[in-house]
Amino acid sequence: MTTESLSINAEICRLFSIMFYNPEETFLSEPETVKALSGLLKEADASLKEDAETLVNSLEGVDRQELMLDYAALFVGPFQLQAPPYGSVYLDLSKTVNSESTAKVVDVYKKFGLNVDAEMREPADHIAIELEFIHTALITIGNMKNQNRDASEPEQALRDFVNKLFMPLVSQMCELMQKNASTDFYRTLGRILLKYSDNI
Amino acid sequence: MKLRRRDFLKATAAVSAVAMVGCGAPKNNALAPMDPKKAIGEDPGKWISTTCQGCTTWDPIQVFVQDGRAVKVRGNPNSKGNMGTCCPRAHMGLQQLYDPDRVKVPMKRTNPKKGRGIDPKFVPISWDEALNIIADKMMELRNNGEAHKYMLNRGRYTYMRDMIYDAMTKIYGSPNNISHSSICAEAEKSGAFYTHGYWDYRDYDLTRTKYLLIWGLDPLVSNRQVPFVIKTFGDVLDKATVTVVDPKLNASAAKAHNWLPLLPGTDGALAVAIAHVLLTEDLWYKPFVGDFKDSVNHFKAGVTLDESSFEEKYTNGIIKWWNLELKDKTPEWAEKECGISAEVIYKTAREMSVAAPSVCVWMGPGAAMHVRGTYSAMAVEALCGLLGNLDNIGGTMMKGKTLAAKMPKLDDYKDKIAKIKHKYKIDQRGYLEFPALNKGKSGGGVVTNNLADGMLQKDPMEIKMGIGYMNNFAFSGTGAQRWEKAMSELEFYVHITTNASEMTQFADIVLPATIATFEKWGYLKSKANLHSQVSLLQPVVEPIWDVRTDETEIPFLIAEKLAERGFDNLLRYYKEQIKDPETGKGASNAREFAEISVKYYTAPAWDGSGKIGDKINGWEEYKAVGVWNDDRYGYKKSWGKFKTETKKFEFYSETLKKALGKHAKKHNVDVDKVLEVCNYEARGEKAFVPHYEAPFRYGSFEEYPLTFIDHKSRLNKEGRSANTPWYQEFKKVDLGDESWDDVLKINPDDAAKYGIKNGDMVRITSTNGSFTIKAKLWEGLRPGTITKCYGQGHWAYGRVAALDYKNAEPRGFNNNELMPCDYDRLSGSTARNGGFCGVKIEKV
Repeated sequence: MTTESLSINAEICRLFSIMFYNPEETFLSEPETVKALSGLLKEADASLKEDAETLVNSLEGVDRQELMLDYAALFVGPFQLQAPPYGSVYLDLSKTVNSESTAKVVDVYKKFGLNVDAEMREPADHIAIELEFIHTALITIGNMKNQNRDASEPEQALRDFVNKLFMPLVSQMCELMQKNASTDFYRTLGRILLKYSDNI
Repeated sequence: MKLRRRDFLKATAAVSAVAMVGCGAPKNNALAPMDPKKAIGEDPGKWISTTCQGCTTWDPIQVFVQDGRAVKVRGNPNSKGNMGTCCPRAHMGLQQLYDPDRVKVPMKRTNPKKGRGIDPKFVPISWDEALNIIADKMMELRNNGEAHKYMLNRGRYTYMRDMIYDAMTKIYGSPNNISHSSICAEAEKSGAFYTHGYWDYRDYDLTRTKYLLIWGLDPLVSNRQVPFVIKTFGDVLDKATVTVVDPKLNASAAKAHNWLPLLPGTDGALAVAIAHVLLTEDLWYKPFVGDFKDSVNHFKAGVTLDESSFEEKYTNGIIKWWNLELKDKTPEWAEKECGISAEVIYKTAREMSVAAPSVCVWMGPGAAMHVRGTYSAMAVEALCGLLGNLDNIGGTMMKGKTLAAKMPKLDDYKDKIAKIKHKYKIDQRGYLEFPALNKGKSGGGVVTNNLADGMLQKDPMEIKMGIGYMNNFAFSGTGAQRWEKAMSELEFYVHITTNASEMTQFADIVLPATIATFEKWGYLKSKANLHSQVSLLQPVVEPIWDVRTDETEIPFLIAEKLAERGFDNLLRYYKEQIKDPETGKGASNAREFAEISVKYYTAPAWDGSGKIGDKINGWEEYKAVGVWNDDRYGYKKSWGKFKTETKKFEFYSETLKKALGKHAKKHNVDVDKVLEVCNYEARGEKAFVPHYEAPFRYGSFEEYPLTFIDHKSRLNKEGRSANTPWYQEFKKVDLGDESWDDVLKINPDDAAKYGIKNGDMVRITSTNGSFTIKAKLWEGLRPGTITKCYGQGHWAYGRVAALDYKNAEPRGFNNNELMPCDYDRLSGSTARNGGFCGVKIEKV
């Protein structure tokens, strides 16, 4: 992967991460984030063009309340999460949060000198945090390459993270988003993240 | 997900721009550079003391925490009550703590329509917004002269309840602080109180007992001493005779020497027949009860005796009891009533007398939570008097002392509104038909389950707003359908909870609460193995989500909001009266308040001022050991000093006579009228002695030929564990149950009669409800009865407990929707045992 594609990939992951925050606090108040994500996706992978446009269009005239309700039902609760955003729910037999696989995620973050800020009040394997981590790791690797340093170790660590910890979450959560979302926005987001995750 | 850095949202619109920027520096929000000083590698971890609140054992435990994650649980080895043991509930706490369905942030209802299967349409909001909405509503009521239309509902609590249940409600100005206590207990306390003046659960000298009589419970499963019993039960079986009285087989009965499967609700008949044998065969414990003046036993069946012929020692009214109740209650009579053969009744009485006074009579809710349960409880507890085992070696024990501070007085913080006297509360305690004689005081107890009816009737007042914590009355009260109606009609409800449940379904604001054992400051008083304890709850891990402590932080936050609106009395009380005993300073914020208030209350246990029990040197040491133990409780300390009217063990209860008399006088009726209105059979003097009252039953035997038995699970953690996978996976540890299922257990003889096979779906119908459920043929109960474990049937809960929340589809059904609502009115207890629920079944 070139440093240019690393950069684009990193930026896409950051923008994807934003999509899993409270919409009122993020992309509804900063709609440029969705447009930026859409634009980058179209450029990065032509096969995503249609979904990328749908993503933007789905927010036009959207009922903000409906979107908030869908966000809550999918990722927050309070009854049955429709698309749990936590890796451990899919990876661990107990289907709980903050379990064995979460500890593995934390270990990977540590390897990159990172931890989750205590203020976040979310487990380390929340989809938004994992996407932010990939964003950070890609930039770290890109910077190393720019400086002609050997990046094979972090690259391998990132590859292992994506394959063993990130993909099981994304594949199953995105399926649930497509199945259970009540808005076009989140249905499309699930579809497009699932497709794009192969490019990471 | 909290947005910490706005620049995280900065969009880069075009590929060329991204490429041009190159890799550069990442934009981060959730992630931050690690502290370079933090050691890399595996954290060795450590055990941290806290308390399990899975049942009312309130078991001191320790949690192993590694890298900020709770990974393992064990009994606290510093506890003299559990000797380092905990039960399965404590372990399940880990899955509760890390349940993905927990309430994570405050939420607001956006659909005004309320009801089962109606999506409340909750959306996340900030703590600030939630608290503003709550404070506005409280002030609106107050300003309109309607503060009394506010209620506080308390479910399971720690002793920090004072801050939310008492201080907040009373300083705000409402009489309506309503606890959960009588939903599952209280009636058994009547048994102890009206015989020996003790309104509490008993302790048991299991390590020295020679005879353990377990009556209406399974102590390996529930009832306040589970870890201690798990630890000692094997030894007890080796050294003592164990007899279990219960209509259905339980884990203790499976191991016991004798199992007496009596007919539901006939406990009183069996108890008085045992008493009859003890007296007629000269087997009572004379050093406690005394003897006939001529030392000749005159107790002969059917013979009335002269009261002056007997000289009592530590008891009152043995001859009155005999004359009013026992003289005709032969085992042969009892056999017809309770279904236990006369031969077994004789054998049981004789064996107990041989072991006396080292006999533990362990009575539980199965013998007491009946319509008319007070008298059943008294009849069983009265055996302690005859056997002289109360506070005696190897016997049934009362409790020692606990060191804890009292709640500071509220008076100076009550304004005109708060000082208004309200005669009654919304649960109608103290009404003629609801004596609720807690410690003998009319209306002194709570009638929790009647709250729903009080709300529906708007009697004695309308309720416009409620705050509930750690409660789920819409699931846990019998006749649960009434709760759904009452909650649907309630204007505004705040539910403070760890998991959304049936009660949350009706909430307008949901506030996320800490999980007691792992994230909360609190303390608890408990007892076992003859030691009273003051056990600490402390946060062993940082909460994952944006949760607050229900009993301290949240009322403090509300108090701050009320102060902003011009009513600062509550905030001043919290700041001025609850001081850190080490620094003398009050809390400056909610988080500080949570810890300071626990320090304030527990200080006598660790500040060196206490003259009894463990010596603990300061707060830090208390946090480390986690529990203060009283000295071992002394034998016979209470003899001659019982807190009854006569100071004696009362076979003729002057204490109950006084209590009933005062309640009758309050309503200008006589005691017989009270008993009639409250559906008891006794009239006249019989009302004051332990006696048998026939079970009251909903549904005739002709139409509803089977009697339903509700039983407890060893995995129910105060109604909050059904959403853990371990609960469902291990469900089969409840005898006869199946993993991930809810089954109706039917005796094979009855099943054959109805043509039902194992696994068939059947319809069960009571006078209150009708449900379809899978049948399980099980020999652990007598023909004519049918049983199902309580716990499944959530229609509004997380993805494990509820089969399909969206469609309100439960896993099985909730026993409380099958059982009608009624009470043991003398104690205010909800009836859930005692054969009061007739049912019919049919194959579907």
